[in-house]
Amino acid sequence: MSLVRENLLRRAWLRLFAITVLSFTSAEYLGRRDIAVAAILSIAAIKVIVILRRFMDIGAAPRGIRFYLSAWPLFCAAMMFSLWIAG
Amino acid sequence: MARADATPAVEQAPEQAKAPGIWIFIAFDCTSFGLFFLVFMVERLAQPATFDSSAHLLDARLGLINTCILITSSWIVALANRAGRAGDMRRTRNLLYGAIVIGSGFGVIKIAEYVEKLRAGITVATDEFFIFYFALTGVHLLHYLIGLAVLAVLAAGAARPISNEDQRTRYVGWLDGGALYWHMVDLLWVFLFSMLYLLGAR
Repeated sequence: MSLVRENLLRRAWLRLFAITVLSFTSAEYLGRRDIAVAAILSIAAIKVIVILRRFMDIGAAPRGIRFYLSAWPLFCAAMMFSLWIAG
Repeated sequence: MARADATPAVEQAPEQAKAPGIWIFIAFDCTSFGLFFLVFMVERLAQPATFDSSAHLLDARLGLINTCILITSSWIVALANRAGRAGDMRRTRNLLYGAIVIGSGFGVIKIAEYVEKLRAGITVATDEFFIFYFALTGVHLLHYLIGLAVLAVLAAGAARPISNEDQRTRYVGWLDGGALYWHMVDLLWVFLFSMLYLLGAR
């Protein structure tokens, strides 16, 4: 396995770890709830995109599924935020 | 047993050849979970106070630890997948066993969480939030258990001697599919953790 790819994976893992902690901290300590929820859901979408790109090699998926799965986390985060705001 | 430098042909195979069937399954499963998320958020509209106060009863720190466990095991599986494609079966096997050991922590914490909730008198009958909590995390736990079993089968497969290129190509195909499935378990949890544990935190 090339060292470059291994480093890419390690960096993705560290990034995921860091933003997971950031998401938890936002939920617990951010003053304004709407900003906290926006941060939590944006971070969730970013995490899923990192997993799709780095761990799952989404570039290797059939084209239609690649587009669909790339849009899926953004759609979920936007839908959750809209319905959270509406509540 | 295949060696690291023996047959790198699979690693160099066209990326498009990588497990197309499992991608369709993943897209279908993500759609199903997306619909569950939608139903949860729509139900929350009717009683946001109940959903938020029930979410306070969950321990977000346990959710955080479980997220870190799944992210770590997913990373190790990605390393195992690449080692398998490079033909390093010994490393593949060791990494898969490592992913299983670390990933097992998720199940232990989840079961402990269920037991703690049930002991506190919190069940599916408590309120609508907990119907969703038990249903969504239960379905996810089932996916996780299947994933663990798949990883165990793949680790056992990597431990067997592989005598020819055909066998190795077939094994790598299964490894690609199993790894993708495990990553899917991880990415579904990312949204479950955010939606169930964090949206109503504090």
